[in-house]
Formats: sequence, structure tokens, C-alpha cells
Amino acid sequence: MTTAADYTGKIPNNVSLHEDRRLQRALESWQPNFLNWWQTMGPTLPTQDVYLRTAVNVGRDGWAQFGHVAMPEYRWGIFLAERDPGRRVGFGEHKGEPVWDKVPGEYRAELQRLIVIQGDTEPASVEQQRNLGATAPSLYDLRNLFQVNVEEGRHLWAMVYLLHAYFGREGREEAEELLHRNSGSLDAPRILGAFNEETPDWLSFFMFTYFTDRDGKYQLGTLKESAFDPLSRTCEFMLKEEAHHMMVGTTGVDRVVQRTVEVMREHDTDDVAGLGAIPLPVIQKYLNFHYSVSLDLFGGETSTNVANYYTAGLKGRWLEDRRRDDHKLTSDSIMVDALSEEAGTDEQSIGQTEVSALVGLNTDLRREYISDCQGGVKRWNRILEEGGVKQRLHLPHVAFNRKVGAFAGIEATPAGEKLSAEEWQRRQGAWLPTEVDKTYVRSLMQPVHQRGKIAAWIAPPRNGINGQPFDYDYVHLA
Amino acid sequence: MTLTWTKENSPRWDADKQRLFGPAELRAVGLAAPAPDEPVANEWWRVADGEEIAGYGWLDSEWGDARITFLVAPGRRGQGIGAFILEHLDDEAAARGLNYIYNVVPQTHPDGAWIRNWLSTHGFHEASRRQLRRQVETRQRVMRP
Repeated sequence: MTTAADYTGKIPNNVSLHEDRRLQRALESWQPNFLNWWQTMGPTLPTQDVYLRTAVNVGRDGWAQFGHVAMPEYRWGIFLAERDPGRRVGFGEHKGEPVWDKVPGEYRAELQRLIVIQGDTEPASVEQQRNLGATAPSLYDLRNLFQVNVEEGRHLWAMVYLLHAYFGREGREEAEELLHRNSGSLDAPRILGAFNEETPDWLSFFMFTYFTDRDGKYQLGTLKESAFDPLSRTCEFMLKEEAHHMMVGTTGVDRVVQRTVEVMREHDTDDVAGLGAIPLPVIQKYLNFHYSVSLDLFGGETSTNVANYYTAGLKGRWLEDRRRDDHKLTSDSIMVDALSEEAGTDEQSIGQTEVSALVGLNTDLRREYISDCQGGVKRWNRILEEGGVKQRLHLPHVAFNRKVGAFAGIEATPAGEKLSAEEWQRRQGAWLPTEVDKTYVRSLMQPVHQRGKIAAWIAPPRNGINGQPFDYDYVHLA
Repeated sequence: MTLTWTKENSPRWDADKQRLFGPAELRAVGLAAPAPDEPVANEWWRVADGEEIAGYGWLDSEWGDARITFLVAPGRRGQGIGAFILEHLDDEAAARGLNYIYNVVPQTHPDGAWIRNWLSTHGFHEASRRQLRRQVETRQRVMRP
């Protein structure tokens, strides 16, 4: 069941906004604040227009249209996936009951917090990436950056709609706070620490969209299972858009690796620094950093809150309906990462311990994510193999460079061997980007804003956007 | 009084916790006591004054959500131990890249109004029903390249 999209009002939507004048007015009064935020905190590179995808509906027959759009005039809308009138709660103590169209009073605070945290990440990444346009390696990449940015803006709209529509005055206040907090602000930073640092270069951008946006995808996947149906339907549609963001990260790293292989072969050397490409060890270090930081975003190995969210039906597991268990987990267990005391010594070793499956749900989600990330590494290694290069990229061990959870207090190598703090200090430059690495990568970030041209450190894409060629005029600069 | 702050690597419902967490304490923190020696969820720290356990603090984190809870041992209240735990939990949250912490005062808390007032004097404000939030003060950022 779907409601036809209304494109005639100030706010495109498929939630029959015109039938609720009070909500419509509230959102229309938030809209100028959003546009002001976009102008002051959004992309800094002046453009006339950009070839962008705009969501226009949610149906299977086509949900987006492409065209050149002046970014401040982008039609940020509110779209929820089609309603399934027979949908029932899929897990927890309410399993089998009809899903909720309204917020149950007993879960109001928890749902509001989940929505605020998700909502806070959306504008945060736009703020982090605001200066990247100035160093884009091609107009194709510039367009992809802006596509990610406008859709993160739409995801903010999605969460703000839920706050306004279902959480009253507190929800409206939280919606204002989403624009008040800013990435990197000392007075009002974004909620997640990793969303408070500027994305300094395009290798970081691709790694961020591969690893950290993927983390966001998994969080959205758990909220898509929610018994609160408007949240579920919102996240389901956001995941559709998120797939493009994943593609930008995946193929971005593909193309960096591809170009490095080409230069290695062309010059018959592994040392491509100075030849305009990014050396494989530097790519590995960026991968190590972004992957380990993204693992931290899942939180501790065990969590009472997440167990309670699951039992209440607020937040499920990734692909909940494909799990072959009772979807209640009250008598199940899971092995989670832990430090174990070695008998007869004060030493601790990296190991695992068994806990209730409910409190181990952070671990369950993190493992799904890790499995997905392995797919990326496999893909990049195929490029290396096909290019005749012997080196391979690897995901570091879960204990490597962790600031959250069981391994927060120890240091470990990418292979998972425990290290002293002194040894970590001495050797970390071999595993994480050093100032020299970062300076070199940044030195490559010279803008290529001419149609059909591309920077020397990255290969062109195999396909353009929406069937257009690589040398299409994706962006008209101001 | 010399207080120490120690992380429990594999926290369990051990004898010290069983002794400190009586029925009133469990109600105050909204905790259901696990079976003896069972693992307990979340990250836990023990506060000791010499050999004596003076309290516990714990942090529950996921996707930016950072809930802190703490307990001061009966008989040690009013000695600044709550503030000591709170400041250390703040540091732990900062070290994990968490910018905000919150505390939930359960409906079952025997002295909910008092603890809400205590939290507000320590920088927390009411974010929603029974939840109090504050910005992390110690900024130990997760560095990005």
C-alpha cells in the first residue's frame, strides 16, 4: 500500500502532509532553518548546478529522477517505504503483534533517542565533507560527493519528520538541536566522536563512505526491523539511497587500488610515492584506521540497552527475518570478544567469553558488518591479483587500535598480537597513517574540474552515472 | 582517602558486587541482579579505597549512545565518591569518542528527586522523561587522518 507522492507543496512527501496542517506548518517553519544550515555548513565549492538524483516516490516502477539541479533548490522530501498492512512485530516480547503506528508511551524516550542519534549523523557527514569539492579528482567524483551530501540532507529530513510527527514539543526541540550541533564544534559537537573531524582528503572520503557509512547502513538495517512502523518504513527507504553511498566508497577504493597497480606495473616498482599514485602500504594504513574506528562505533561487546531495545521491539538484528531462531533470544548465548586473565600471572590475553545473546547484540551486528567488509577487501585483492601484484590488503584484527569495548585498554598489532604501550608507540607508524603519509596524500589532492579529465592518483570509473559517460558534464561550476 | 579507578576486564556478578548491591541499590540503578558469578553486560570500573570497594561505575555504549550508571557503597555516601566516579566515566566516554553521556533515573529509584538534583548540579539537563544528558567535558578526540 502506498500513498502517492505530493510534489506540489513546499515539502515533497508521500505522507499526506497536507492532511495535517499543524505538522505541515511546523515542518515548513523548520525548512528555512535547514536551508540556512545547508548554505552555511554544506558544500563550500560554488556551483551553478549538479547532475543529481532526486527521490520522487518509493515504488518499484522508479523512485528517482535525474537532472541538473542548483543544489540549494534540491527538493529534499519526506518519503516512507510502502506500508505493509499485515506487518507484525518480528522479534522480542511483542513478536507476532501488529506493528505500531504510534509511539507507545513506555518506549517514547528510547525511540526518541534512537532517532536523534541516527539523525545527528546525517548532517554531520555533510559538515565533515564540506571542503572536499575544492580538491575533487574529477567532475564525476565531485557529482558523487554532492549526491551523497544532498541525500544525507534528505535523511536528516526523514528523522526530523519522525521527531515532529510523533514526539511533540520534545521532538521539535530535538529537531532544532540537530541543526544547532555542528561537526567539530567545541560548544555543541555532533554526538558521535568520529563525526567531528573534517574529512581531509579523497582517500579518507572513500574509506569513510566504505567503512563508516557502511556502519550507518547496519544501524539503519536494525531500525528497519523496528515495531514502530513509521521508523521502519523511513529506514527502509533510506537504505535504498544508502546503496549509492556504499557504491561511491567501494568503487572509489577500487579505482585508487587500480591506479596504484597500473603505476607499479608501468614503472616496475612498489614505490609509487613520487610517481603520483598512492602506495599500497599507505592505502592499507588508511584502511586500518577507518575500519578500526568504525568497529568502535558499534559500542561495547555487551549492552543492556541494546538487549532492552530488542526485547521491546525497538531495534532488531540485521536481516532479522532470515535468522533461524525464536527471535526472542531469552535462552540463547553468544561468544563475545574479551580479555582473559592468564592463570598464575597478571597477564591478559585476547580471547572470548560466553554471554547471553540478548546482551551480545552489539557483537552480533559488528560481526555482520565485518563479514560485509571482508567482501570489499576481497574485491580490492582481486584487482591486485588481476594486475599481477603479489601484495594483498587485509582487515586488521578486531583488537587493533580499539578505543571502545574489551580491547580499549590494550594495544595489538593488525595480526592480533598483544603489545606493550611502549612498543605500540614505537611501531604504530607502520600500521596507521603518519604525518608523512597524510602530507603525501594531501599533496596529491589537486582539483581536476575539467570535463572528462581525472587526477593521476585514481583510475576513471568503469561506468558513469545513470548511463551517462565519464566525460558527461556532471557539474557546472559557478 | 585514596581512591583508585580500575577497569574490570571480564566483569562478573562477583562477591563484592553481591555485597554492595542490596535490593535498594538494585532499584536505584534499575538493575536485575544476575546469578552469582555470571558475566555482567557493559563496561565496568571498580572504585576502591585501599582494600575497600567504595563504588562502581559502568558505561553502556552503542552507536553514539552512551549511558552511564554508578553506585556508591552504602556508608560511603556524601564523601565525593559519586563525583569521582562521574568524572572518571566522563573521561572514559571521551576516550571512546563519545561526546555526550546520559543517565536514566529509574522510576523505582527510592530517592529520584534527590539524584536528579545532584545530576543537574553536575551539568546534566533533562533531555526527556527520566533521562538526563550532559556534554562530555574532557575532549580526548578520536583522531582522523
